[in-house]
Amino acid sequence: MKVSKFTPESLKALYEKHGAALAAYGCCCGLDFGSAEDVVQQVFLKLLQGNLNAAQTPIPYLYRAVRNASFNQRRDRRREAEMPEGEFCFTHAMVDQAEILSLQNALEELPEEQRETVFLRVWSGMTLQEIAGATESPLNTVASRYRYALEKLRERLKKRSEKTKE
Amino acid sequence: MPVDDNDLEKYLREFQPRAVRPLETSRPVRIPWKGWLAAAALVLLSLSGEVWYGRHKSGLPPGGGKSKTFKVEAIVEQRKTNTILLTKLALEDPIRFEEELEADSRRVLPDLQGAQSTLRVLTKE
Repeated sequence: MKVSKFTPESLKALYEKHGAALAAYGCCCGLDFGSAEDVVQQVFLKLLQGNLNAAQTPIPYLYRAVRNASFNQRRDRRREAEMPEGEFCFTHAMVDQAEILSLQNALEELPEEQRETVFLRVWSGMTLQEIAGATESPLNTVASRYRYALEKLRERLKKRSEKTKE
Repeated sequence: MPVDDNDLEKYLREFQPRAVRPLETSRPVRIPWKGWLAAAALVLLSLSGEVWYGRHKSGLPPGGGKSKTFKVEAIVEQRKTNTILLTKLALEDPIRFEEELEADSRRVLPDLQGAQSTLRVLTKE
């Protein structure tokens, strides 16, 4: 999806489609859900007011804007930045809450670029080719990041599920 | 736990990001000190009302409280002026200075020569 300019309509459509994933991403950058939601709102409002430059590739751009805003908020509110215990940024009809928290923690522990790639691929539905184009990275690099990220997630989720069973 | 990457991807997709509230396109401007400002205005208003009521009740004209202060200040100012004038007089005309001091002492010291002077009253007693 490539647009040369953000219009209010395109931004609203982007928000409806990706707002929830962006808020979950903000959570995985260390914010509580309410703050992550506020950060996403602020980013979109700035775009609506024309305070941010329009991007050729809006989705990765939005992820980076949310990441930067999340880090700024964490820096400004260091004491409050820790995600409260039991704060959920994901929902799942079939699994228990402990498993949701395990996934959130595993995502939070990933290196920044790997986490971004996972979110773009899994929850924003971009292909690896699109991610490579959008992030101006070689396709092999993006594919490696994604593969490493999945390996780490698998390991961490497995360890946590074993601990829970014990 | 899914072993295959595709299965893991499917497993991850089953987790849905929590829904967010609708985009607020127009936000009210927040003034954090608005409450304090309102409280301060209220206090100021009640204080000024109290002062106005107090003045109104006692029948003092506006600025009536200031007139006493003004009088005291005027006396102090007059004395300062007198001292300056007397000093000047002492330098320029010592004879007139003596006369002035004598006249001044009559106003300040007890009267010993008049019909109702302190000395006469004491003598009678």
